[in-house]
Amino acid sequence: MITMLGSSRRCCDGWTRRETLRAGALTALGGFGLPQFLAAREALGSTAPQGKAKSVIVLYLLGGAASQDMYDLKPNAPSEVRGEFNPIDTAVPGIQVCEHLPQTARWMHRSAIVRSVNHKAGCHNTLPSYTGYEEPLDNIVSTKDTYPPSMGSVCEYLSQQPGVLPAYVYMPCYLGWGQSIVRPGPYAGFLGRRYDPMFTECNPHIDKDAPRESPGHPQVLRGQPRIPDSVLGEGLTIDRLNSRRGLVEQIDQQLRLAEGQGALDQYARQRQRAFSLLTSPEAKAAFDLDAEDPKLRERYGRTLFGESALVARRLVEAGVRFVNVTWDCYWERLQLQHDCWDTHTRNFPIMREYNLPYLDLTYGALLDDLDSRGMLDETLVVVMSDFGRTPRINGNGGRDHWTFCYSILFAGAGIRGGTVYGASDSQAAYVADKPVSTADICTTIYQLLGIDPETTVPDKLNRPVPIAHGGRPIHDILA
Amino acid sequence: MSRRSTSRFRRHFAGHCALALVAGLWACAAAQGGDAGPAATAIVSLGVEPCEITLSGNNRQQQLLLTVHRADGRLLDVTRLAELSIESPGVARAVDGRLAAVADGETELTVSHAGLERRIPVRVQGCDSYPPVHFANDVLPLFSKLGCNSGGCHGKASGQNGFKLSVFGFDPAADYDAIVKQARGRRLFPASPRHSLLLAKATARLPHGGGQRMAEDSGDYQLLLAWIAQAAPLGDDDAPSVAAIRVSPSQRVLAPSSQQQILATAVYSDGSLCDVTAAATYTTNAPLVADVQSGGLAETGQVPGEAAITVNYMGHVAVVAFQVPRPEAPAVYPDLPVHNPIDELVWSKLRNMGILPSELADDATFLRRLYLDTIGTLPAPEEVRAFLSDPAPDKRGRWIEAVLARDEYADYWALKWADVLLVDRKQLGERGAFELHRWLRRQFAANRPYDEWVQELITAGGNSAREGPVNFFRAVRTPEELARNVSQAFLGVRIECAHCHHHPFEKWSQTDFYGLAGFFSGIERKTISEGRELVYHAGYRETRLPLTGAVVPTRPLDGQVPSDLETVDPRLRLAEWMTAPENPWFSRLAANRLWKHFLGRGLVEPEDDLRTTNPATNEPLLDHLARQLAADGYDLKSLMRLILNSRVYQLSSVPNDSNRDDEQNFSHYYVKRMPAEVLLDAISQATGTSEVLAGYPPGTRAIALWDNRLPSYFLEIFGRPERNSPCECGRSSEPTIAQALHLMNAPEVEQKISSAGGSVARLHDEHSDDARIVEELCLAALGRRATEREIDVARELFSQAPRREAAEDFLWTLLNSYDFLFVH
Repeated sequence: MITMLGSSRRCCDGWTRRETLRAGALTALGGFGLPQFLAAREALGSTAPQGKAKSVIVLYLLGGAASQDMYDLKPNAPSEVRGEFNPIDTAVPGIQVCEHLPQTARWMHRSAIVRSVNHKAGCHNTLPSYTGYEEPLDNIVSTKDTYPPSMGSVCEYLSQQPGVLPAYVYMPCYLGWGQSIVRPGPYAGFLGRRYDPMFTECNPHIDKDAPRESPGHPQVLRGQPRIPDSVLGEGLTIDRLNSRRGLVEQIDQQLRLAEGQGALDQYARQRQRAFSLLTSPEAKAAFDLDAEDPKLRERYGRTLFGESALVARRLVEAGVRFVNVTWDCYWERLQLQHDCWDTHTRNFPIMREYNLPYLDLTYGALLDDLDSRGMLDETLVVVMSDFGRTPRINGNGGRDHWTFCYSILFAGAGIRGGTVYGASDSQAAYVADKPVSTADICTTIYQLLGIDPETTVPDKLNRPVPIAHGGRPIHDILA
Repeated sequence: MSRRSTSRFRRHFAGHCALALVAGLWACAAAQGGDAGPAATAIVSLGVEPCEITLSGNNRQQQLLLTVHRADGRLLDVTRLAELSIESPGVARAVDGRLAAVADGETELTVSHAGLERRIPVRVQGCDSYPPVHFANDVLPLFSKLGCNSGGCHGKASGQNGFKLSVFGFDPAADYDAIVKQARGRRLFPASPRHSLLLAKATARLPHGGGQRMAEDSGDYQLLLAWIAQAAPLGDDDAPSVAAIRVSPSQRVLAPSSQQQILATAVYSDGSLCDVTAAATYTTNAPLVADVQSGGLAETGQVPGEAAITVNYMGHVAVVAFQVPRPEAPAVYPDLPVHNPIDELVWSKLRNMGILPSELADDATFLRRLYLDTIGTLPAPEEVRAFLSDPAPDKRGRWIEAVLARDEYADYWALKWADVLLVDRKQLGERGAFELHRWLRRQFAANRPYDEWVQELITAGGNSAREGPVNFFRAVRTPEELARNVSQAFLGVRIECAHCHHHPFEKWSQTDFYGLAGFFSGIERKTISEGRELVYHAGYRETRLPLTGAVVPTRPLDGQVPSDLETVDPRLRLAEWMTAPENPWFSRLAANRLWKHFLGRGLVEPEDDLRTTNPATNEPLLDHLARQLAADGYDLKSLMRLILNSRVYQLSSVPNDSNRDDEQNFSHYYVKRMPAEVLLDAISQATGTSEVLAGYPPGTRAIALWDNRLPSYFLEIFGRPERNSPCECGRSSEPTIAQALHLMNAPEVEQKISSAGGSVARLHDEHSDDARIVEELCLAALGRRATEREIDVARELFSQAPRREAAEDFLWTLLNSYDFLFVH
């Protein structure tokens, strides 16, 4: 094997990494990819941290959810801070949540609330929540391939089996789709686009007979996530596709044998996956909600968010490691004002009438469903947002942007149920106890997935970049 | 050279582990022992560096570099193999190829190896005291070497656990303050230096997050200890500073599993020299080929290839280039055909590496490659036929001329440069993006000299709705960003690193960065109406360093302060400096970009990161291309012509046994996926349809689009860039599952294949027979006649399905094949 000068990019391809390992370059671990690291560790017989979670489902609330009106109520704060909601008791004595989250309350014995999350990377910066990289960006409405990879992309990068389904699926559409912008975070960044998630497409709609949107009369966003181009077109049967596939393989064999170059191999892998998605029953089934009991679909909520969460459970069953379900903002595509978490105006009616009930419905159904299938012990569920909202209520009855303190909810696999970690001050304005960074959150998720938080991944210059970005797992919420 | 000394040579080696090498040498020498002349591997001389040694101070050591020269011209490092003896052991002693001071005096070092002997005078002085330690010259390099001030540790912006150093030691005053004064001075304990927190942490005597960085018996420890004992002096302001470092050897051909010592010498501003081998930092870019330890000992592995070792001392860098040839290199390298000087330079490199190039690509492959690489367009079936049937021996050259003269040339190259110049509709508005794109297209249509249009761009001013290039100053808005983008896009210097700290791999400092930014300091923008701005130079302004507020003189990299900054638009002076023929970066970057475009890989990678520490894989070739470009008056087509006519460009992508793994010496053509726009056009062309691009006349080519935000799922998933970094790196050719799904199953692609006006329908309507359908579809999609295998595959297909359906399946198969998707 000839190794080239300035070989940074080369080390990003699987073939080379295997070669690297074969060449015995164990001393160069830091500079090379993780798969060899894992393989090397396996070979050396040392033990990786045993992850309790086989998979994770992230429920992502875009726009900065007012978590002080959800998981960290301040009934004794002054009225301009306190808000309109009352706390209720949960399954765990001493822990309270918002009155509009009864299912969340019921599942508190399997959940942990972290009440002291904060970052200083700027409002609407979605990069920290997915990567743990807390630096302000020049531009929060585009992504760059020099950014660090998301947790899901790290899972995809480390994934050893080229299964039918990828390790990382992002639903119901790319982050920012509803506003026709690309928000940073979910991507593979410097690892390369082949570790980007498989994005589904959504085509949401509202009920035809729904009344015009007005305060107190929210419209429900319907729809299901779909993989683009994954439904066989008219006149194309599986047989015909299979026969075409046979032809293309026969034709390509020549070139591949002759050339065997990396670019071809990489494309071959994606084509193989695409074929499987189109033809294999298990892959198709994951997205087929008609196979589900209609009653269960009702319980998840016949919303784009609820149906996506149900698909998420099916994907986890099919072995997908990292599934994201985003509650996007659909202002531009659908001119809907109410259905997002960026509640500068009418925070309380929006939360009471729409956001909280539908979130709670889906969350409760997801946990019930996972539990009844015996999957809750190996599936982690995280409810998080990109930032929080101001303690003080503004003149429009809303709350504005705030990154200095907000809450994140964990449940399921590996979580010490009934835990509250960290605390905000009396107005939920700043952290009063045990500050937690987004890097700590990501690292906790890595730990739960059994990914060593000390892991580094190579950037474009082949420098080892720690996936933890300085974060540490929150051991107190781990079972 | 006698038999006797050769056998001594072997005996000497026998005690060491470099057995594989030695056995080979011995076998060879023995076999030729009876010949009259000296064997090729016979040792003819012994070189010693340095040739005289002065050690001043009781901590001083001198690294030796001992090299034997063989009859065949090969050089071998024997630093650790030669015998060293000192006449007066009371004056100095030799350890591991190093000489250390013992007591003042003069003596002589005798180096003997393989029967040869060299005597070197040695002088030791000032041994009774540790010489004064200089904070910036002695202590800071130690922090860099041990990684204390790296970005992942105390060097990061927030420091580490309360102790913050400037990254790579770029700010000695701040570092001195941090160590000596901050934390109430608790880091040093001059009363008992050994008990200083700094030493306790660094040696891990006290718990240290970074672990043990030095041992108590090390020279590094002694240095820090001495510095603290001397009451932690900052050092004399007038003390000579490092002006450069020299390394020896600068390049070498090495055998697998061998060792090579590197000697690093600092040259101080007063001309004095000092051995810094032990203090310098070493990094390799290819650890499998050659790895390097602290102390400068490099070791090659089992993998042939090339490695560049970067030697860094006090912000000065030098590079050592190693080559490890393939062991099974052909004994007699053939004479290869040469079309032009490019071939000679590439063959010479391949000969060194023991690699044979692939065969010349066949005519059809060449033609398709030429079209796709030069004009982003598939050759039409009639063009393929005409070319294949042209019997003239010079036809490739003539067709190269014809393709360079096509209209699509301007479209395709404007598209490429629009990426680099950030022609983004979102940033510039429709009018701005349109005007900048149109201006770019005109430059290529007229083949205007590169230096001319870059000058016009850099100095543009006026109404952005009328003057295309003005929009460059709208996409990039601050002097800092302009410095960064102009430097990266036209010079290949990543000066942005020096925005915040000293460049980690280069000599650039913040002063260099702000010196460059100063050229753009007076640019102002006034809004005329929405999306239109007036951009003008409003008079020169001083630039200040953000940290200290010190005024930074405006000057180009490594250049002089222009005398008339106050009276002219300073950008003029910058543009003149940039495009001057003697500018070391301007033509190199352009040449490297073109090379990468056509050959698939830059001579330097990434193509826009030119620096000493990132050497070209074929330096003479890059040098030649850059000179040629400048000599031809920056005529880009002229350089393309040279590249396209070279045999190297025309090589097959099918590798042979010797070059299968070569990815950087251009021994065969490296396949690449078509870029998004080219692929979309190619699908339309192969299916005989035209893509409907919203808001554009039918038949508009995707490569001719000015609007990078035109909604197109196809262009998005196939890697159209966002145009937010001043490079070509935003354009991705990485495969994704969405791409594969789309090509296989998208209704849009299926519709093209089965379109009523498409090529399948046309052939079917013309009642073409099976063979003709197969022939035509192959010519249209793959630019060549069908292979035997394809004909077989098609025969079976056509026998099983109705002709039209079979033809559609066949075209689908072609569009999903590697032969179609890749330029090969």
